[in-house]
Amino acid sequence: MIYNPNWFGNLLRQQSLSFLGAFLFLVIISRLFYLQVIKSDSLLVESHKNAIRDIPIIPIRGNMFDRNGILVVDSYPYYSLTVTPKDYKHDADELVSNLLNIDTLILRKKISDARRYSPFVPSVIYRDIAFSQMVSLEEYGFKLSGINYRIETKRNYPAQMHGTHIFGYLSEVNQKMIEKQPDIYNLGDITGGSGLEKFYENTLRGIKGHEFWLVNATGQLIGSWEKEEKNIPAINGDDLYLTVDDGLQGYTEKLMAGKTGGAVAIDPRNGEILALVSKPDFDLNALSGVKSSSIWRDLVNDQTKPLFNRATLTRYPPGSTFKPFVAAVALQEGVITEDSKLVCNGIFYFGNRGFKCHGGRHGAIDVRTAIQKSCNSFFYQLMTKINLDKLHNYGMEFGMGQTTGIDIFEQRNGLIPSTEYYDRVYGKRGWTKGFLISLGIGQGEVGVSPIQSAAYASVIANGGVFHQPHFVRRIFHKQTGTFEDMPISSKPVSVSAKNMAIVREGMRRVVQAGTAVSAALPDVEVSGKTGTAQNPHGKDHAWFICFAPYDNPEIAISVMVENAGFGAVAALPVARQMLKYHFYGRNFILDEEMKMGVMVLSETGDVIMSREDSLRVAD
Amino acid sequence: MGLTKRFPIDWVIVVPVLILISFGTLAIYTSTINSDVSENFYRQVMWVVISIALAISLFFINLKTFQILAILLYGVSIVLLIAVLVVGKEVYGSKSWLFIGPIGIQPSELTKYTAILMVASYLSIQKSGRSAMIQLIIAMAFLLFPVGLILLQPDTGTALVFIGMSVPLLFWLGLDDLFTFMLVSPVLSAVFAFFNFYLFIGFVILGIFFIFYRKSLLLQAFYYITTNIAAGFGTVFFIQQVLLPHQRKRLEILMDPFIDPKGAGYNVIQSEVAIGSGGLFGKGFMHGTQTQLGFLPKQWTDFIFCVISEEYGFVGSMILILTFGVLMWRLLNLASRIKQRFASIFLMGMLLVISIHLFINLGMTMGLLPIIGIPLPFVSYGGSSMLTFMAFTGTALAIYAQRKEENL
Repeated sequence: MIYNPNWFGNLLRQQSLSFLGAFLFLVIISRLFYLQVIKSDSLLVESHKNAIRDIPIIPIRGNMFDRNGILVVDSYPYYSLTVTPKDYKHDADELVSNLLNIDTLILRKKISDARRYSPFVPSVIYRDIAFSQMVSLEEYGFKLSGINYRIETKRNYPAQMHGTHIFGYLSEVNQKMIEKQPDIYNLGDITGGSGLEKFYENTLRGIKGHEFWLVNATGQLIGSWEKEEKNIPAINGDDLYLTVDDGLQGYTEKLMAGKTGGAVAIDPRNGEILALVSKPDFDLNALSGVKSSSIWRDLVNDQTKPLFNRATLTRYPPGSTFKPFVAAVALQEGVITEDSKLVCNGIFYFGNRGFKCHGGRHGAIDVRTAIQKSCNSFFYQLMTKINLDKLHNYGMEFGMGQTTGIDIFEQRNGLIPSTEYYDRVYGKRGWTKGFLISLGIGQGEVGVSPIQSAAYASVIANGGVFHQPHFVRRIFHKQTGTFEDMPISSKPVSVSAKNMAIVREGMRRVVQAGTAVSAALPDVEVSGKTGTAQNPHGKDHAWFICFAPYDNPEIAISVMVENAGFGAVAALPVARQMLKYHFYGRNFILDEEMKMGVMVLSETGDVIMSREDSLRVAD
Repeated sequence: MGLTKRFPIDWVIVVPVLILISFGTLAIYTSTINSDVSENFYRQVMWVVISIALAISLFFINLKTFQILAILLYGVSIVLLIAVLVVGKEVYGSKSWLFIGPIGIQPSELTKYTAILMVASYLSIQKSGRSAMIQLIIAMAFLLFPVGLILLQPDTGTALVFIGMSVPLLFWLGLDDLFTFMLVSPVLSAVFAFFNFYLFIGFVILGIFFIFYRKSLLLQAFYYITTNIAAGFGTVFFIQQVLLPHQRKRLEILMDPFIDPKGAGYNVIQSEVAIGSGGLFGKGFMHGTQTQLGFLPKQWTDFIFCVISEEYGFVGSMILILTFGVLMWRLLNLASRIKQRFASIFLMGMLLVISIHLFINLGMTMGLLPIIGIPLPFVSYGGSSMLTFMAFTGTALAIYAQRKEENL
């Protein structure tokens, strides 16, 4: 029997239903316990993720000051547009792209990148929006859930110097950096892309703060969370105090305007870089905030390569500026003494190959005169006697064969060849001593950049100590309010003071009565050496190195101008003006320009600056 | 004093119901007062007042009158169910609302009460000449006839309440336990197989023990095994082989809402987050972020439990659940002890309606069941639901006042 009215509501039925009910209650209560007690913590995190937006506060990037305390780099605020993808609705695509005047596809790509990064975190999609754009976005605010603003800072260069290749540009962090340091970088953050900005990124960046906001389900910010008690303020980046002299740097940039090459001035007493210019360069302002892809593309494709730091990345034969070094090595190695005389017949034969000297026959001359007259024959002869590997090792010590260790990333090894180098390039028996002869006059397989050349000039200037060239003297720590002095790395070279003195004397004579008499200044005794790097691809590159004053040098300079011919003509005038600026000051230069009307820098009458330009120098 | 003697009040029903209504009103206040539907709170207060008035009126009605009233009310609700199909207003894809001026009612809600009243009334009137079996079938027809109309709206949630209620009610009325089990088990097998294959196997094995414990016939055992295996494997086969990928995906979301956290899975995830983030003691009155910031759509209706658990935590939720437990225990207790058939059947029906709503609603909000939109009795926002459950309550109190018991 399947149905019996007498069973109605009997004990079995009461008990079965009680049991079933109890069982279901148990299931529900267990689940409740699981959610509210066991999984509570993680679900609380989820609910915070829902309701609380962590809005990063971007710290203000550290400033930079020149050696005299002049502010050369600071930041000013601008507004950036951020999107929180979770709250953003794609219906707004068209409106936003119209208001920002960008392509809808680009906008979508930016938002999908942001979503991939994190749907909950606001990512920057557009930088430096104009005030009018902001007003229109505010007007439409009710439609634009997930769109917010963030105050960011843009670099500003208030002083005379541009410092393009010193400061470097800023750029947006790439995916790799975010993956490597996810605690530090979010999508759309700004980071140093080159120069000091990149090298001192960790110092300049500062530490992000956090502001916690409540948002509702449509993504609107409702108010602060926990009365702002959990907010963490940002810590602004530390300041850099540079070795660079704003006035000298700015003036050198103007002197080099229109040229292609590099000029570097170093304090030979400690390796402090007073000026470093590479031309052509570009306006850092163009890359200080929004890096517009078209500007970037133009810079990359520019035939004159303005992004390329010629002061540190080039490798050209030093030409005759190499001779003092070869002389120092020869003296130290005992190849010659200070009184040894070698004969110049106008041509030097090695085997049956003749190497010409310029300026006719120099006769029997000692090392000082050889430097003074830049006699090629003398140095050819030295080169036949100097051990190649010894030359290489000295070159390393003088800061030429390797990177100088300056505090920007853009640098390159120089080339001072060794036996190992020739073996590698020509094979073990593929080369003879004849290959080396021209090294004596700084031609052939030898190469340096202006920074290496300047470091080398410093070593001669200070009588034999290599100080690592550097840009930063000290760092001001914002949090502690203290200065941290940057250590200077120095190493004496293995040339005796006596031998260095002989070489220095030779260089003094170059300016007194040699190939660089036009570098002489009243009151300040200048020593120097011109050079011309043979260029198989075109016009020769001009070199000039110098230091002053002779007795207690405080500045060493190297100037290289590409495709400009003789060093004395193209490079020397730049160095001379730099020296004038350094020793006589700004007003002297202004007076001089006033008198001349136009600025004439070389005996050849080469006008490198128009009257308008010179007026700009005056401002 | 004479009134309370003539009409004794069952406080074990009244107090839990008032607690539940308070919980609900508070939660509706919390979740709507700061939103654009803040008038919902006042509407609900109005409905509570009307519903209590209704319950008090029903309390004074004679049980005999109820048995006659049942036919009238049932007839009216059937008419309304037909009317709603013709002139009803479509809300969220189902035509379940009738509007009289600004006031909307859902006839399908009210029918829960009238159908149970009808079944209780029909079965309690002694009829001669008809076999008990036939009477039972007719009673079930009264109960299940509205289901057809409700499915036409379509309102599957409410239909499920009727169907789910009918089986335990049949059992209560005297259907053989083994037969009831054989009736239900294939459905359970299919459901279990859908969620978890091992659950299904375990259920079938347990069932076999039960069958042999009940010393069933070999034929019955054979019937049991084949139907259950067929139901279970059939479900699996259907899901794996017959359904198209996108249809299968929709089913998978039921089981794992995180497959589609923004779409179909959104409510379940947000609901679990709301409940779980409440923790032991909750975030406090008006401090639930999920609630206050509107992460749960329409949380004042079917997802009201989330509001309560987020703001009052495990402790508050347990008080709510145990209050339901007390009420349900009391209804089972009365249904067992009161010997009038009308009273017992009605109370059992009321118990089953409340139980099914409670378990489905909580199971849904806690992510144990797919989303089936039915309200939490006495707690969720909604006039029709409040009216219905208060009609149940008023009638139950009337039954208590006029009961005949053996040992009370």
